[in-house]
Amino acid sequence: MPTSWMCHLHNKYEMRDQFTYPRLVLPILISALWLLWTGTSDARQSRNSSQPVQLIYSGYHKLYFETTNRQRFGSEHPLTLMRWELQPTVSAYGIPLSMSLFYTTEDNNPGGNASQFQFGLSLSSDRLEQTLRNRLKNQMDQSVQKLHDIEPSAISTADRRQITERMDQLSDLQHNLDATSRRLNQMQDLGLLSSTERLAMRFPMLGIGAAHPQYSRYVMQGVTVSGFHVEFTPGRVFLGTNIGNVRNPVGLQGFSSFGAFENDRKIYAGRVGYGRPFGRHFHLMGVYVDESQDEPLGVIRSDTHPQMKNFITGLKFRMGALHDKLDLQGELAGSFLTRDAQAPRIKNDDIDNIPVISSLVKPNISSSGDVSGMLDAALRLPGPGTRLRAGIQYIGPGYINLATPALRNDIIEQMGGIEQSFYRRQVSLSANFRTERNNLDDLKSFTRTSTRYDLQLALNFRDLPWLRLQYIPLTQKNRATDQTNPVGEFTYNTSVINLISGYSVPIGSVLSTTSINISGQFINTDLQNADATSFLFGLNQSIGIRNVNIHSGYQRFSFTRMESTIVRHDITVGGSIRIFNSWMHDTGFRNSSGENQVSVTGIWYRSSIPIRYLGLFELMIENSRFTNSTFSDSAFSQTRLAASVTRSW
Amino acid sequence: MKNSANLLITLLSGLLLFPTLQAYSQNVIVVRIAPPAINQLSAADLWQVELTNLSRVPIDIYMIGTVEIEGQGLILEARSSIFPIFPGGNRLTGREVQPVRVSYVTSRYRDAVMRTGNFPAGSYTLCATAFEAQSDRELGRDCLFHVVQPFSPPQLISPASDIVVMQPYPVFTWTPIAPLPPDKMVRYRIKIVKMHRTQIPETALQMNLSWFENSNVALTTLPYPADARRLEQGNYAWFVEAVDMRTGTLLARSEIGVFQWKPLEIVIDPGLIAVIAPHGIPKELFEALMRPCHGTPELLLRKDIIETIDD
Repeated sequence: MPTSWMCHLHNKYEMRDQFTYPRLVLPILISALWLLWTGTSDARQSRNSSQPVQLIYSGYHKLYFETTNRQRFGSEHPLTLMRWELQPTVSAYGIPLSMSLFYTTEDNNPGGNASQFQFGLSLSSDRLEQTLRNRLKNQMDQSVQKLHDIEPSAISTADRRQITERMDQLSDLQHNLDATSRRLNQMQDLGLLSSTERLAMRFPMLGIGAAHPQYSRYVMQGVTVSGFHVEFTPGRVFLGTNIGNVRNPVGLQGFSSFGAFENDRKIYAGRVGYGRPFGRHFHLMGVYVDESQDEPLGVIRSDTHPQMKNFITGLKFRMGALHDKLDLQGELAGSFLTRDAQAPRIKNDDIDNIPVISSLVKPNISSSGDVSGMLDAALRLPGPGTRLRAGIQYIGPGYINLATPALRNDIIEQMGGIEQSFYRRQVSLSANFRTERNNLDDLKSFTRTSTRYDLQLALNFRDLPWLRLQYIPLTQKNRATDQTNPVGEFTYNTSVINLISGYSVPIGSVLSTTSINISGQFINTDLQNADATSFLFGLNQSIGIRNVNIHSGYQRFSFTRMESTIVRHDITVGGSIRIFNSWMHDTGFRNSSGENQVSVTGIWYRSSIPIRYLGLFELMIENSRFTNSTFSDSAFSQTRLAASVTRSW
Repeated sequence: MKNSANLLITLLSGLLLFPTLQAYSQNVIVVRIAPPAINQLSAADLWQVELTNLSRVPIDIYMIGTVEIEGQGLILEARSSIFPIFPGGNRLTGREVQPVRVSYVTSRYRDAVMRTGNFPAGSYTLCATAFEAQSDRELGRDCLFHVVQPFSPPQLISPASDIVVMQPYPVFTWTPIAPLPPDKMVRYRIKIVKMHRTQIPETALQMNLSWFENSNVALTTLPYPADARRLEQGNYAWFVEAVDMRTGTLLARSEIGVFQWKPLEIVIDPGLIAVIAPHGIPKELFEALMRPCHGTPELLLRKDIIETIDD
């Protein structure tokens, strides 16, 4: 597939032209469907043929369709929607190439954002690694079988030693498979890795299209980058880069849009270091975010927004100590941000001469910079079954990073916890605390300190009801920075208690399960109108007899605020049956009502059946009737139909 | 007589024209500072200025911007380079006025601006004055009063991130912003999205449409409405924003919360089944029992459990 063609296509979608959108998507859908169809049929052919180039097709797809006669309160979803996920993989010469395609019609409403089309093409090193692991397992099984089948007298000691040595090597690889030269040489010596596969193993990521690179919490996380993504591991060295456009969040008019931005935004990111990101490693990272207002194809913006430039650099590490009982992770990052590239430059030699930053971010009167960092330690004591954890994080008040849109700043946080199990893990206890403070440099008029504890008990005794108990008290204090004028200070105390317990009794072919859940939340503050109490009691009973399951549940929820209490009752009765060993039917009735509240009565039916060549087909129909007793004309009903087809091949 | 009349006319004309001429000589340039963003003030805002040259000729000028804080007086003075201002309206650009010399009275404000790009909380008066370069004569001036009040964002309380929610209408709770502004009508906007298979919460909130959203919550507690879209089995991301309803201004945004929702019908802890009843449960029966009422992601997990129990 030509890259230029896809780039052109991508730019078209970024134009948010809803009229060209379906016309462009259709050819892709048809092409992908063809690929899917021919892939599934060719897979069998390819596997059975003895051609030199063996193509193996695999993948996953899910097609979901939903329609309803009216949407419920607060939902942004359209009345009718369709989603399609397709992830086909083609393996040639043992190298798997994956395509990911996600398409939804959810944003085609007027005012919507047509960027809900995501496409990616990448080398699937995860799948290759899995293939290698399967090969190792097969080789091991064959060796074991060989030893088992051959008569001891019919094999020489040297041959036996050769087989056992090979098994030792296979076992060693199974436990320590990685992309280092030593392991790859070992694999090649054993005849389990071709030279092309060896090259592919060096690329944990090699792809184009939409991706969500996650460097670290402080450097880059939570942005969708449409572009070019490479990770390369020559031995233990790790090199990676992501270059592309940042995709703007979606959101219909009248709804919030998280992390939305105004200008076109590009990211140039790279990291280098020792080890892969999720194992033991030490990485240096750099990200440059550049905004511009290059208008795509004739679209004219009526207003202008300051163009930002952001340079982020950081290091992170993860290491083990005490024979891997201690796991240490740390990170340090700095962000230098210019809010308006057009703002006047300051006459300041100190800023003008900072290497790299001066040339990239072009510091001016709108520039600022700050740091963030964290250190986290986890200690595991296998003997007594104890886990200890402690950590600290600091995010400076001016740490703003365009590549981590959800990161809060101006905060210092400490946390710690312990987990301990007893009696063969039948009893486990955990206690955690987390305390945080903001307004680190007294730049706000109020300082907030917050302390949260989390205590949990789990009982899992054999032949006795199991139980989970959780208690979470939280205290938040808001104090004025200027103590001579403490007007508006307040304290917010809340505690949450959750208890859930259940018991299953198998009696012949009947299994009875009873469960109970109790949950309470108590809010006590200095503020008027904020004190509240909520309480929930739930009881559930389920009975299974062979292929039939019947369940019923009741919940009572109460919410009290300012001497006013609302109470809701929820009742659910349902059952499921499986016929012909694979056709599932599930139906039921539910009612939710309370005084002076919306009453909801509904029925549902759902069915699922695996269909040959098509996948698992699921259908769900539900009808709900809403009645609000406070309004005479507020009764309405909603019918919703949903269907999906899921298949892995 | 005629001379007297001429003299009188001249005097009257002079008296009439005198204020105009005086104004012309002092306010040759009309200065207007653009209002900074709500609750923010940066040094760059001093140069968001519109200048109108009332004369008919270009004038070389320089600008001096000052920032004063209530109770302490002057905290910053900045001086631009010399640049020409042409007749008519002119919007200042960074290129025209740079490089600027900035001097802070105390390091507290300099450090705050260098680290955060903004001035700390307080009530400020910004002034921008245009001077003629040749004579240092003041040609125009504008001042603006601006309040900076950053808020501590709402803190999400429940559902806690590590709790599996099972009630059909869970209670969402968060703490208020601080300080609570008496002059603003604070409302909270809650947004909940369902996460797809491999999404992280940040991406889900950016890319997925709202499962539920309410922009007009007066309290810091919201029981999930019965007439909202029913929660289905899966993971959800949510956050809360505080908004001034009068102006529509975003005051503060919480961190992202994540919770998992399972229907009450399935309250059996899958990991515990093997402990509770490790023997004698028929596979079909167990599979039927563990079948969730919504969604399919649990399917693979259930198969794993069944295999575990069989083993």
